[in-house]
Amino acid sequence: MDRRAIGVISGKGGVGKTSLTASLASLASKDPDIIPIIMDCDVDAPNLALILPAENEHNIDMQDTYTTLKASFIEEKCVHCKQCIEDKFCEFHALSWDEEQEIPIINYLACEGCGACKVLCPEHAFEINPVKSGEIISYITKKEPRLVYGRTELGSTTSGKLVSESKEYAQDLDEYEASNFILIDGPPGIGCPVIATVTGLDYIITICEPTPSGVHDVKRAIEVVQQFEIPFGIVINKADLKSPFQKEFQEFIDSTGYDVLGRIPFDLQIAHAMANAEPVVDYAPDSEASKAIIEIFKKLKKRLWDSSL
Amino acid sequence: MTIIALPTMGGGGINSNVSPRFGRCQSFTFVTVEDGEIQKVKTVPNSAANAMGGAGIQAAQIVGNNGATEVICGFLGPNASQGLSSLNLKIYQIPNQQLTVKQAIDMYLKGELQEISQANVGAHYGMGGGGRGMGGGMGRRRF
Amino acid sequence: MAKPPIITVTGGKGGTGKTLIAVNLTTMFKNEGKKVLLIDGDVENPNTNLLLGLELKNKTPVMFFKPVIIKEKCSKCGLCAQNCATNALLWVKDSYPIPFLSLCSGCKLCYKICPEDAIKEDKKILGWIYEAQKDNIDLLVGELKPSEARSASVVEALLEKLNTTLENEPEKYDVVILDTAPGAHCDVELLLGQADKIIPVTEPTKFGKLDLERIIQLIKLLNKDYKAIVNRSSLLGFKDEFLQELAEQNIEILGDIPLDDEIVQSYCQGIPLMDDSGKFDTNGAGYQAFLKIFDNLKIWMEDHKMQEVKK
Repeated sequence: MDRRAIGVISGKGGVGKTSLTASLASLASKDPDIIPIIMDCDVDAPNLALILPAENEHNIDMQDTYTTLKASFIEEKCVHCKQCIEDKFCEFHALSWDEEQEIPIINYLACEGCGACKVLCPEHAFEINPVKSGEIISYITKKEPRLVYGRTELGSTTSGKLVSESKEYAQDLDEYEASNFILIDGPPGIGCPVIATVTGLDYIITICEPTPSGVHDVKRAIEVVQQFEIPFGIVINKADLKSPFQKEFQEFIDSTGYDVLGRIPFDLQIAHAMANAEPVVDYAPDSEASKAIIEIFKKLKKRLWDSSL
Repeated sequence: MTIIALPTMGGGGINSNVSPRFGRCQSFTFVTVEDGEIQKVKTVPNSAANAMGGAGIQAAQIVGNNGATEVICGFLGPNASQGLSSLNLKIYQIPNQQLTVKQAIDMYLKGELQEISQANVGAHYGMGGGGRGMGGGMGRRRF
Repeated sequence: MAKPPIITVTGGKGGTGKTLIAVNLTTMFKNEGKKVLLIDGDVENPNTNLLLGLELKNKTPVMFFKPVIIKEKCSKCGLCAQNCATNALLWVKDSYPIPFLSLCSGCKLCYKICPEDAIKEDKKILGWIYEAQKDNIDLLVGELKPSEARSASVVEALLEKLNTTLENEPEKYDVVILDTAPGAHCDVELLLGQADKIIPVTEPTKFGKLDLERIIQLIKLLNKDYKAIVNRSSLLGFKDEFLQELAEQNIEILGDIPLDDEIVQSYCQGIPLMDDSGKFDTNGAGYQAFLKIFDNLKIWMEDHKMQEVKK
């Protein structure tokens, strides 16, 4: 089977991406036709590793990344002209003025390393250097497939780049050539790291819930996916939730004609499974939630390989 | 006379392998072809490989600045594909297998390569308010 | 004139209940007759207006730099492209540079260094800011345009509005509450950076704890004061264990909120649980938990004021 790369996103956070990805990863690892590599691209708060721990704690690859650029100030070169402030060299509010010492102060967290200050300062009193942006961690999981994930260094502001680098890392693995299923747990939201995640994928699963913000949230997530013209399917989590928005939500989904891969009922076994740091399909294989997820997995396979993408 | 650019591995050259990636390949090999024969081969290290971001754009610049009018490659990321398209270059895709530059050029000369240039893309001004990578790139699969 | 205290509600993990808590804290301040400004900084998924049952008005676009090459003036020197840190300008010899807007960081360096003044400082829509108002609550909501990446710039626009208001009318509000997105990305950092007090919201699971630890790391980097809230504390039945773990790590909390069907109802109806309209059972477990948290919050804020006075 040809290789397929798929991502799980949700727009809103906390809707169940990691939980679903963990279960799909487990099902994929048991499927004789599938050779998976699992990724967690929620680089600002990666969680999948909790459910897919390493088979061998001593065999974990960690690679530091240095793709964040930050400005630093060279005091010896400064002539205190204050041009950097007066002419607003910095568009990111990372430069302020120290009245006492009459020198600029760089706000490290706000600095985006664009290099404008370095280019514009007539005395060359600024320089730009790479700093540690995060790490890429990779290991063989207890369940067998390899897990690759990125984790940002707090304050690095380059989550999107780390996502791209993690993807590159996965593709450079020896196992990549043999693999035919790349499953990615995506970040929440619809911004920079999500865009970096969905770029180049073959298929996207969007998870949503029938809550007051449910219609809103799924619309926004799908708008992003449609911009990239990537085929997608919807998974409705807590599908039988008793909420006055159930009807409106259902009507909306029906009206769009979107491909619904499946509906996972509200099932406390999911919470119990997560508390046990296990995918629900392993923790409670006969639960309603697990049955729904198994059906979703079957449908997903059909979408990926029975129809041409 | 046509100059064809290929992303290559190592230092590049007629016997080097075509790289599966474009923006961050190790080198570019420029092959001048005339009357169905290879006249000249030039290699250039890819300085875009170290770019913090937008490597595909920088790589497209290298290709353009070396006078190439056509490109033979494997996979193009979204930035590279938009970059090359904006320069109006013809893009040919090699099949999903390891090929040397010589083998790829031979296939090209025999008309065995598929042209995958985007239609209707001239030197336009970026993608309006759009996000990264409309359409997710071209060519053989990488994500 | 004293500026009002700014409280940022955050969490790291998605779905822990940040917005729910931000909205109910806002409501409790309103109940006491305080004038509150609530800012929804979760610009990729703003929901505060839904929980408050308010209609958004005054849609104002947030604009972002867009470079446009003026061909008549351009000498094709390529200086702009050579200095662009993100490779957002493609330039080959003897041709006009081509902007790639999706890569543009907005640093405006190209515009500033062009020797021919051939780059126009144009703008594109990055998102929008909306307003809403009810009783003593003013709501400001930011929204990122789907397919755009720079949520931090929309958050910056929100904070600019906040700071302008605080400069011109420092007495307008008694308290300001900021609601953040999940994660620890730069949009969240900006809202944490403005805070006098930070309330990270977590849930009693390994995942909640991991993300809480991460957000606390960030809060410490910013040198800020924080106290957490454990939401859905009765989920799975190991609340005491969890609270014990937090205590052992010296993570102080304002309180915990158990699962309560009334909370779900309030969420669905768009009426805050703590609204004094008498809709919900004031003896409910959730209601009582919120009251305790609010008391602790006020004490915490008093301590802060006492510190300020002592200085």
